[in-house]
Amino acid sequence: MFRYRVTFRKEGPARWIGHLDLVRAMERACRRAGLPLWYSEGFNPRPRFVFALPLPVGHIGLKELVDVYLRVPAGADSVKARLAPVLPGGIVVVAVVRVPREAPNLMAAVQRASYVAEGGLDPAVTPAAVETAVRAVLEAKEIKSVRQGKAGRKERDIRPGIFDLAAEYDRGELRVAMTVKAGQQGNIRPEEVVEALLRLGGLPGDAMDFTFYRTGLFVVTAGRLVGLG
Amino acid sequence: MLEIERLLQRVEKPGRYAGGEYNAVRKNWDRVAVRVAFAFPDVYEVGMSHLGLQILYGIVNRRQDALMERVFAPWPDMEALLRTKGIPLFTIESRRPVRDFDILAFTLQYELTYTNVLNMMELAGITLTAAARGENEPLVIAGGPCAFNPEPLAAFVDLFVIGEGEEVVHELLDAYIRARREGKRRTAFLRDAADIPGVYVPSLYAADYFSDGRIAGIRPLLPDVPARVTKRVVRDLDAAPFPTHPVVPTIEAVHDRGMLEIFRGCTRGCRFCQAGIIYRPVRERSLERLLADGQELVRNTGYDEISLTSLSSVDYSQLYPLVDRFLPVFKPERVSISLPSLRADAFAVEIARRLQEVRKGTLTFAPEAGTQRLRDVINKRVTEEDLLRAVEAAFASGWLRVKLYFMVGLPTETETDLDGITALAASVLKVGERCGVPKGRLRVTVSAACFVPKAHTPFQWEPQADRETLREKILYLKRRLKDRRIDLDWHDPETSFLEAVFARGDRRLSAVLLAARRLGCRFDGWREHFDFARWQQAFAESGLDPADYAYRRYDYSEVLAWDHIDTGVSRDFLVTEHQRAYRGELTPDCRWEDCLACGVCPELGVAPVILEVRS
Ligand code: SF4
Repeated sequence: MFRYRVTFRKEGPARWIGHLDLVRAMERACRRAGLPLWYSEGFNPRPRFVFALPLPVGHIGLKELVDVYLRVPAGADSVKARLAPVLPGGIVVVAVVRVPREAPNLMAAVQRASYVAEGGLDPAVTPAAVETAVRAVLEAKEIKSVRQGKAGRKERDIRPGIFDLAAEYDRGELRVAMTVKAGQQGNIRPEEVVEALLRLGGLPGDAMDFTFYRTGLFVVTAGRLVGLG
Repeated sequence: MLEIERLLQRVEKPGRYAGGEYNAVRKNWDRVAVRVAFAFPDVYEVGMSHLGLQILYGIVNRRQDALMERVFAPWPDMEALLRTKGIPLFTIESRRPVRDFDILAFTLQYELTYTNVLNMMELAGITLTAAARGENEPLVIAGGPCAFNPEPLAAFVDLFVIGEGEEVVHELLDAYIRARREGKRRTAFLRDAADIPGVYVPSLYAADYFSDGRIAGIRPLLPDVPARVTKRVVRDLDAAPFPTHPVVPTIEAVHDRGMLEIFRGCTRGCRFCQAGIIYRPVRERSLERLLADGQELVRNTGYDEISLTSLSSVDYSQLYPLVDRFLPVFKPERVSISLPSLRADAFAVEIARRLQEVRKGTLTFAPEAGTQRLRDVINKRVTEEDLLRAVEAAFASGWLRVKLYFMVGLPTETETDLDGITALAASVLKVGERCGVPKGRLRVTVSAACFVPKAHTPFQWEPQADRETLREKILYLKRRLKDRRIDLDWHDPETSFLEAVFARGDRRLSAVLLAARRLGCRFDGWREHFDFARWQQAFAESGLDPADYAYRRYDYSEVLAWDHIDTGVSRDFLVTEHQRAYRGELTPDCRWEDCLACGVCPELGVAPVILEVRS
């Protein structure tokens, strides 16, 4: 089994497909590329694709990651060259590297994600008001966020999961950059943070109207963020 | 464009409208002479499972001078947004308004999509009534199996294409381009188009009625317009283009696999079946062509499953050799082969076993009726013995679940026939027990559809059982199928009733469609959106009684609304088959036996193409 880490963008039309559809699309693309996929044993052999972290439908991913497993080795460059032309619109390979087979599971590794959210505010809103809003979030002891999960509404405190928050604002155009907790140990959605920002700052607007970019996925090593992929 | 991205953000499944699918074609709008929007009047996941779309998409986009884009019925969440924001219906590929296209081409697969046809036109901002449509609005055309009785949509559609589209689509586009170049108005173009075999221009015909509402006649309004329009048929499927680069849907389609059509037509002769008449004769594609196309399909799509499609794939005369040659090629690539439906016999099960379909757990058979007597009436030439032997083979090879398709309300049906359904289901269970299917996993599903009399079939004159009766029959089955290992699912009698009305409907129904549309009907084939009360209101407003269409036994002497559409199969053949039904006489399949003189071959100058004739 040979393991390759594919860094890709999910944008344009591909932005609108869900995670399961992305998995299927990636598998089909690999098959079209003629990559010698590794298959599980058993009654219903399946290839192995490990995605770092599902990207919500509608978000644009600039540095998404998937580990692809092949049964015979191939040069990382050749994997990239074969995959690139057969992907559906909006999925773009950025890089492919070979990773050791025993490297930590990609999905389990992810601890942080960085996002950028862009949206419009009423142009009457001042830069100072935006600054105050950012400070309000960072200084809050607790931020309650309600999420509609499969098992009903769930309220939790997202403040401990927000590690970094900054905003740029120019005449109605707001750009929020953030680093938040991500992965299997708990996941903060950037919409929740933008919602909190608007709410705590008393700013008019709806997080639904923002465009979200995921700009990176990270592990934390010795207290420092290390980018995956 | 930005506006549309905003809408996508707010709908449940934006992937339905997003596009970007692999193999989707985007052509330069300004470099072609004609732009066609192919409209599938149902949701994306259904439409993308349809082979006909992929065939025409490939053919038109291969032309230098034409482009085709796709549009599907927007789901109600998207529809609401389009309406409130005032955004016109757009195509997937370029997100251009449908109204900007030269031709809007609907495929009619199911009668209960007719309100979606109107709704899509409305959302596109296109005048619904053909007579009132402006010169700069798209030409609205339609094809597909339901076009064999085009009358209910005659008021809305400029022209219908009757039969197989592969060849006539070129003739039509050529004629369109020529007419445009010559600066012809729409009416002049339509007059020209009526000369193309297989093209029906409803505005060139008038329908007359007797005072009791029956049809007196349908006649051409101009002297040299053909009195009857004969369907188109592709003589040699091997020579016809096949979509080996189909658009691969990015969100899961209903049938999410590669489709390889192995033959067209079916002459088993089930007397209720419209497909069995309109796609005659049987034309098999050659092994070589299928092997080549199948491999190309896999290479170009990445599908891990290829379905060998047709109306009854086990009947392909070279199925064994085909499977034998596919398996060694596909196995290393982990591509599985599937069959859409199975004939109820041991050969079919053996094939399915070889294809390892057992993985899926369920095997499906369609005995259609519960007793031998009724199966003889409908010419379903399968015996209980065949079926049980097939089921036994299935259970013995590891299948756990069997699904049985039946129809209720078939002509001459009695309670005994319904008892036959429950008895058959019980026998299947018993076979399962005997074969040692693990307790708790053995399952039989009985699926009961309601009989719908369809145009051009031997049963076209038959009345449909009324809704109450159908409901009682289903309840009767429900009461009798007590065993917890048997599930029953059924088709809604109201839906089937409307299907019968439109399947045999005439031009007057256009008023009902308009009213139903205005009252908010759409997605009528979807239980959660179907509202029968609205339909009843639509009929009442239009002063038409739907029962007249569905529940009446039509007389042999009557003019039928679809008599001017010619399938090539003779009326005599249908009458004979209808009468043989009442005598319980079986009619063989001309695929294996002699020609039965149904008429289609001499009439259309074609012949069955069977690779190997069994003696
Ligand atoms: S004309 Fe004869 S051979 Fe041709 S489809 Fe009809 S019965 Fe079969």
